[in-house]
Amino acid sequence: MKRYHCRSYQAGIGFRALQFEYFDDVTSDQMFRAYGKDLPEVFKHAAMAMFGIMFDLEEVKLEEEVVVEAMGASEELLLFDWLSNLLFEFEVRYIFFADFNITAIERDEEGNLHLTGLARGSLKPQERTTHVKAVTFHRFRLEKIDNRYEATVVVDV
Amino acid sequence: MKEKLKQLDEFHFWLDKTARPKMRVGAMIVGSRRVVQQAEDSAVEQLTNVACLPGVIEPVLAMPDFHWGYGLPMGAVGAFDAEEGVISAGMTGFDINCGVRLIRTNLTQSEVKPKLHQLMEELFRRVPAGVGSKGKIRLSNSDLESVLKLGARWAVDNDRGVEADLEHCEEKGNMEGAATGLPGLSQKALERGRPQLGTLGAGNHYLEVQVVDEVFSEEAASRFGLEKGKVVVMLHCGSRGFGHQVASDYLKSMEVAAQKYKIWLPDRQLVCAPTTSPEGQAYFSAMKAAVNYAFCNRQVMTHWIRKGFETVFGKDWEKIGLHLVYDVCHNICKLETHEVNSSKRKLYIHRKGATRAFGPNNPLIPSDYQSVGQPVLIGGSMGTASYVLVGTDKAMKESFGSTCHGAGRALGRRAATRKYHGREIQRSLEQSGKVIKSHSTKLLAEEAPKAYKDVHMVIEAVHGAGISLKVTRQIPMGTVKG
Repeated sequence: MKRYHCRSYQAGIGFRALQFEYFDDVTSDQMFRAYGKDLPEVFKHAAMAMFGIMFDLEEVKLEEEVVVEAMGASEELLLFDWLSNLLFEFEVRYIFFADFNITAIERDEEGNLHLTGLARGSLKPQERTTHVKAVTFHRFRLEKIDNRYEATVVVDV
Repeated sequence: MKEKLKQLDEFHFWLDKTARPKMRVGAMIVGSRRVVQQAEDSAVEQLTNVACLPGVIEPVLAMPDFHWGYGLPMGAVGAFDAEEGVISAGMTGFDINCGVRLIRTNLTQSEVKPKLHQLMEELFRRVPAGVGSKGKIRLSNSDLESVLKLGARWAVDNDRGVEADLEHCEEKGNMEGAATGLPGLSQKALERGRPQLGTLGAGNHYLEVQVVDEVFSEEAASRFGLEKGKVVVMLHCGSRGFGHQVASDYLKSMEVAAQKYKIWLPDRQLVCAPTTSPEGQAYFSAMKAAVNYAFCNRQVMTHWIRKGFETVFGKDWEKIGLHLVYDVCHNICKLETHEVNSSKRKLYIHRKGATRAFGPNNPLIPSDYQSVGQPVLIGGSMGTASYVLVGTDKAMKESFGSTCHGAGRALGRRAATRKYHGREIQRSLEQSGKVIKSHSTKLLAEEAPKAYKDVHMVIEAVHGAGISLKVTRQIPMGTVKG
């Protein structure tokens, strides 16, 4: 299995913990794994990994902001809905998203989880490669391993 | 899993249902020893996953271009009994009715060559391409409803095509019984669909000007109006964000349905519902809407291709002979009648990266092709050859009237961008006289010809197996990528 790490360097801090990485296993599609110390962080990194397939996140100026909501019966389904809704917002608003923040995750009386998040980016077209068409359920997993969340996602490209 | 494959003859491999527990039927790979050698073990395993689902009909099929994808491999066919079986959003895939159409011309290569740059520029300008590209058509809500209901017919009714175009599409460019609005379709699907009609999209989608460089069957070629040295246009695209949203919506609802109907899923992406359940039928209607959207999308772009040729060659498109040869679907689920153990049965056929290949004398193919069979359009990778094949009776008996769809990826996209450079790919293609237009050089690296399997190997396998036969080969002159 080949791995490609994505560590981002910050002056004064050094390398941050691994945010996400890409895998080449699924020939026709793209698999990635995102990490986070809690749910909001793993959701943020998964979104970065997904948009990072299409364009260079570092090139995007954060000029626009959109509130994105998601809902799911489980944490996994909430992640699926969050990523799917971000793709929807990208396509209908033509905003190239590069930064994400989860502002709230709440559970309703029926046990469903509701997420509110912010997606930031720019209307300026970026050099793009492939198009992420959709999030798949193939190998889809959100796990908590040793106090750290790990999301495995295969997207259709 | 590959070690359990048994070779039946030069082009068929069999995986018995004893290969792993819970398999209900066996699986067959159409392909040579080289095809099997190149296949990923995980792709073979994915065939066994499908073979575990309720109501599956033997065999689950892999075509020689099959490769590991999500759920069902790309290049595979899963057939299910219409009463006892399941229908699966995951198995059909996200780009519903991704397909190919071929338009012929009466222009020769030497007539086109001096104007090739101008032609490609014109086509690139007229057909919106790239990630998130917006169409030039402004659809009202009721227009969109009509598109979803009527498919390519909507475009023809709105002066973007002629009746003969519809005659030469699979399903005549329109599947009946499509959902056209809420609640079968989500607000999100409608919102994504409205601005994107008439756009190529990105990834492996393309528009290509090609020249027929070899004719294998004079009879079928002349029926299809194809001649050596003549220029043709191939268009590969699908239902865009509309289809992606429909698939995503139903993936979620079918996950709930699979639990409700207690269907054991070897892979979560294979989420499905019983064919006769409200959930299963709701998906089928929504999928038909996406199928119609894609037919209409290709029809609208055909109109612009014709207009582009008119501008460059200064003649009406009819005089240039820009007639539609055929339009086929690659990702689709269809209710068809097939012979199973000598009796006719209605089956839901899931074709994911596979093409229908009906033989001669079939009422579902155009009247002018009755004597030879249905055209099968196979796009090669960028810069390599494409083929026209014809469907056969053998395909009806052996593969639920199905065959391959393309070259099939051999290398993942990220692996391809590390190995190849977009500008170099462009330069080497242009050095051989081809014109490449794209919004992204990175995409050209991802789509590097060598990132795909050898299309000739794929074609020789389906031809050798007899599930479709070679008619013509085309080589590219100019390509527009997303």
